[in-house]
Amino acid sequence: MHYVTAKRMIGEKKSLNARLLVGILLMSLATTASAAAADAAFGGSKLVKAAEKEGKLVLYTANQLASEQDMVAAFNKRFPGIKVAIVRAPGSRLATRIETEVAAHKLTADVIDMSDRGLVSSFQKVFADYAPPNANLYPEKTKALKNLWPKTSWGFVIAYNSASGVEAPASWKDLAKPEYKGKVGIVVANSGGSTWTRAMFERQELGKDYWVKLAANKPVLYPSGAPAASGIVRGEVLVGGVQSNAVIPQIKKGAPLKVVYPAEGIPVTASAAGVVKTAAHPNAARLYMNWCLSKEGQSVWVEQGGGFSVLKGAPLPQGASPSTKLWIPDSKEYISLRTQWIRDWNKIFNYEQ
Amino acid sequence: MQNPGHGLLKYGWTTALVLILSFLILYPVLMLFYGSISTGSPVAGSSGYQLSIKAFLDVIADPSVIKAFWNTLVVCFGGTVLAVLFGLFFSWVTARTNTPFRRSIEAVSIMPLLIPPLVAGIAWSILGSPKTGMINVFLSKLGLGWQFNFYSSWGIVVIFGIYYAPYVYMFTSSALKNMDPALEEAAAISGVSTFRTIFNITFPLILPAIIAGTMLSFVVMLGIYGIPAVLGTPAKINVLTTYIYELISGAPPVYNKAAATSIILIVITALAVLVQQRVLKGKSFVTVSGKAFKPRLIDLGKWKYLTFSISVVYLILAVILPALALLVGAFRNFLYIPSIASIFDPSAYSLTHFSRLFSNSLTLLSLINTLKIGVITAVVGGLLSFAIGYTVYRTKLPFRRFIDVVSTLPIAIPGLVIGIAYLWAWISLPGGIYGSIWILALAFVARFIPDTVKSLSTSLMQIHKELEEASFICGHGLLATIRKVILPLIAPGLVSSMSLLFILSIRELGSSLFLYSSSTLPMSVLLVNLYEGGDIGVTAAFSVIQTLILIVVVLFTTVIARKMSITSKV
Repeated sequence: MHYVTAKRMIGEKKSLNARLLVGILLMSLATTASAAAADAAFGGSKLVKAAEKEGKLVLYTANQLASEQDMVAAFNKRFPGIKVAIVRAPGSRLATRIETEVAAHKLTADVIDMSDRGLVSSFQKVFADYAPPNANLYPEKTKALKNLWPKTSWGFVIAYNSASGVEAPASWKDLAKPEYKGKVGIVVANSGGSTWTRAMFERQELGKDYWVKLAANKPVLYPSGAPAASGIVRGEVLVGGVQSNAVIPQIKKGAPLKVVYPAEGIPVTASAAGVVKTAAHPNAARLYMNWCLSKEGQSVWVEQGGGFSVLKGAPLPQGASPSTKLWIPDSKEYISLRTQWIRDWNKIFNYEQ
Repeated sequence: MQNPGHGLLKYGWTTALVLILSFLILYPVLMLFYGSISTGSPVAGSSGYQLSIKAFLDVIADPSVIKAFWNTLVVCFGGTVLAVLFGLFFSWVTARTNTPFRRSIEAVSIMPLLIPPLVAGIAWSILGSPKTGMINVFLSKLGLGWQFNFYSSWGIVVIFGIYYAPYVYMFTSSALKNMDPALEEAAAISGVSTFRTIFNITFPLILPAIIAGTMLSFVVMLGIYGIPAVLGTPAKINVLTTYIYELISGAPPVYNKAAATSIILIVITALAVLVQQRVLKGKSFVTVSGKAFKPRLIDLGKWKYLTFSISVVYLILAVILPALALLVGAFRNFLYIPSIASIFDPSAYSLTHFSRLFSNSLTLLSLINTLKIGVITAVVGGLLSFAIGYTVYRTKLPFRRFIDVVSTLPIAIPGLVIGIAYLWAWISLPGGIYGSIWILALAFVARFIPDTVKSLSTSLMQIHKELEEASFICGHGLLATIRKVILPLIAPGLVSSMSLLFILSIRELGSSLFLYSSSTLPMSVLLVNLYEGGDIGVTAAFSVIQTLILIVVVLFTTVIARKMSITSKV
């Protein structure tokens, strides 16, 4: 035990202060370094600064409103100074609006995220040259359209009403089994790009006669995904193919649903998103796209939104085994087969149009 | 306008009206027509634009169009019959009988109007879905072997009948209230039974109002999407609107075919208006003259309990059950109802949907936008409709028939298609109107002119010329006469037209879908976005809020209109 003199104490305090100071300096250096590294992942600090100066961007999207708002909220955690204004409409309506606005030179969008790749062709010229920093981590199949990137990917899974006691189906083929007769809900094939992808997957991967077998099971048809998902929640039907992002957030809130990831594969529709040439906020637009396409952005979509991602190394939704196969349609067939196959589907399912 | 010397004013007035209507209606309809005979968007500067009548040929040659057309006629005809029965019954009960609580019945009978068709469709699918509908869960609990399947043509007919009865009601009730009871009294004195008086005197006297209400409700049903979409699709019943919806939501959207289908609907409506004009031509329907009177109330004796009970049953069907379904949807965490007992399980309910709704920054924005748009639409549309109605029904000005037909056209165009017509027509307007609140308000004014003009028409047609003539003889000019004689007489009608406009603009969906911007997002568009997002709970919560606002508006304007009503003061 020794006495500590007042003087020494002062001296220790001094050196403590000095050490603290150095520590703080080092730490702040480290955070700047990590911030710089993070900025680099999203396009570099120059872009971030320019984007923050613009302070806002206008996004036209076909994604669900609540999902996109979640994305924006996560984006704003990292970049609080940039406001994202959303105009949301389903693909075909959005396409019509964009075409008309382009013709009248009144396009106000900075970023466009279209659900249906088939609908972009008529206004592909509005997109600026753009690629995210992690472009090489996206599959070639999703790069067929120049300057457009799979910002949002929707996948079809099987959902069933777990409170009803119905036996869980294990595969897409199970839906055509007699025990599910009259209990299956289906969104009509022509509802949108993702239902078309699902129909295409069924015919190409599950066999030519899958539609016929499924139709024989007298499924209940729904005009779009929303009533189908709520039909399963309400027990109107007990099983059905639905978009994972329509049911997983509901399950988190406690809905009586469970999800099956069929071994045959998950038909995935990737959106076509890009930066507009005439954007009033080009830097904010690029930053938002970079962030959405980054691992951070894609993880938010998968983990909070319940969607899928085609980015290499991105997570899968909760409960999906790592061996889950994502099925991405051939981009040429996606357009060339569409009209005739939809016609066939309508005929087989006796759905008049 | 009897007094001569107003030549310049006369032509100036007509020209002004025709110009306004051309901008609001003819120009967009023309763009629609242009779109229907072309391949591509008709906006200047679009690529791939070519003239072609292929869309028309496609529509006519398509057998599913004929089937959809037939389904449409069946459900709209059935729905109209029911709507007329309900509407006429209620206007008679509330205006002319001593049924107890008739003031409350009056308020109730227009309530279905407050529920947007899509919300009504959702509410009735919660109630009447064959397996899990609340009604059917209840019936099976009672051990009854039968079920109501609202996923059927009958379901659509019944819901149409309930929801469009207010149209007939609005027309006939103001006619009944402002009717001179002299003839009825004469009949009563001569010993004619009440029943015969109703059918031989009362209803024939208000025939124009009945016909106008019937026609309007029929044509409105032609254009409704929400109800047949929700109730018809599971049963594979396609009507023209669901057919059009599929055309424009497919990939690529086939607007030209949709436009062609709409043009056919427009032609049918124009024909119907011409027929109506022909039928009513040369008949006098004046019931409000210079004499003071009080509408006679019929003492129904103990029958009044029957009319009261019928009203209560209607109230339950049209208002209480769907409202209950909405409330259950809004407060229940999930809409899974395996048994009756689970409906009353308090742990299944919470405020989570509401808190999520109001944590969304867009909710408040859309509320404010909608109120702004509603006020502009009500004021501008109300005044314009009065000007049109007065010109058509009270003057002999040139082109008034033309004005009548033109101002009826928008009703024939389904909302989704009229939206694209306005987008095509107005996007190139100078002065930044596109993307502002005004373009939405203008679209609503144009779209709802038929409803307001027709609802004003009954009060306008009933006022006897002698009132105006007396005013002219006293040396008043035309404007003074309108101000001092006509306006006070039809003020209740004008106020209820404005409130109708306000209500319709809060519910409006079709055209806003194409005209809103991120800063002018209205409630109805947000509602659809929530619905399309699959979250029925939040959708129901938002519907409850929307309905509450509408109820407040209606109560407010009912009080004002009642205060202004001349007949109730005498």
